[in-house]
Amino acid sequence: MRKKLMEILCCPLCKGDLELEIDEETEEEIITGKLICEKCDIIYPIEEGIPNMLPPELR
Amino acid sequence: MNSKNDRILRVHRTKAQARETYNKISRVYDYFAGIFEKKYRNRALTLLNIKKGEIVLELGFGTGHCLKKMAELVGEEGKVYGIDISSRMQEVSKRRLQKAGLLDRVELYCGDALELPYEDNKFDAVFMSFTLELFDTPEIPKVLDEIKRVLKPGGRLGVVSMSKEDGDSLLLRLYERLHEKFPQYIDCRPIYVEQSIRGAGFEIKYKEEVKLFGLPGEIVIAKKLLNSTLPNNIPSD
Repeated sequence: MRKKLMEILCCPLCKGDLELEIDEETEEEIITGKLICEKCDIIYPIEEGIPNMLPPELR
Repeated sequence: MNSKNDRILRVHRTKAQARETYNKISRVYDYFAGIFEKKYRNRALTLLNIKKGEIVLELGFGTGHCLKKMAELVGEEGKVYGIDISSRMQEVSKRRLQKAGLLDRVELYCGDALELPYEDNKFDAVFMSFTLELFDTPEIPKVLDEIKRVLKPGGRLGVVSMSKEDGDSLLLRLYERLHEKFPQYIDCRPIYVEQSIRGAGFEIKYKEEVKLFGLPGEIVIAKKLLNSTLPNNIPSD
C-alpha cells in the first residue's frame, strides 16, 4: 500500500479517518502495518502490502 | 422488496464461506468461470469507456484480468483500485499485474463491497463483472448506494451480470436449481440488473442483453446524477 493512498481511504464502517501505523516500509510502499479507526476501535492489518479492510468477523 | 424481487433466489452462503470458496478456487478460476465471462466483461469494459488519467475502481476483481485492462486504459496518470473478499485472488491478480509491469498504478484491498473503505466522490468509474449477483437481495441496493457514494458526481457505473429479465426459461430454471443445490460453487444467480441500478437512483445510459451460453445476462452502463455527463457516443466494441 502506498502512503499517498491515505488521502482516499476511510474506515469502511463509520467512514471516519484512519490512523496509520507502519511496521515495515520501503521508500514508496508500506509492507506491514495497521490502519486504526479509533471511533470504531477496529484495527485493519496491512500484510504483504495489502490492507485487509474486512470487518473483523469476516477475516 | 417488491414482488418481482421475491422471484430472485436468496443467498444463503455466508461471507466467510464465500471468502473460503474464492480462496480455494483462485488458482483454477480462469479455467472454468474465466471462459464463461471473458467476452462479456471485455464488452462491458469497452462500453464503460475508461479514459486516460481516470481514477477507477473494480469491485470483485477476481483473478485480475479487468484490473489489467483498466490499468492499461487509465495510463500512467490514472489509478486503478480493486477490492475483493478473497486474499488468494489478490495474490493471483498481483502476479498478473506485476508481470505486465502495471502494479504501480493499481492498489488492491481485501474488503466487502457492502462497506467500501473510500471517501465520498473519489472515482470516475466503478466496474463490476459477475459480482453484483453474488450479493443477497437486500444487500444489492446497499452495494449500489455505496458505489453511488464513492463515485464523483457524473461518474459512471458499469455492471455485467446474469439476468432474470427473460423470465423463467427452462435453461434458467435448470441453472437456478443447480445454484440452489451447489451454492458454494455455482454462486452467481440471475437478478434484475437494470431495475436494481435504476432503483438505486442512477441514470441508465445504456443497456445490452446478452446470452451467456444460452443463459441471459445484462450489461448496464449508468451514471451518478449531477453535473458531468457520460459520452453519448458509446463505442460499438
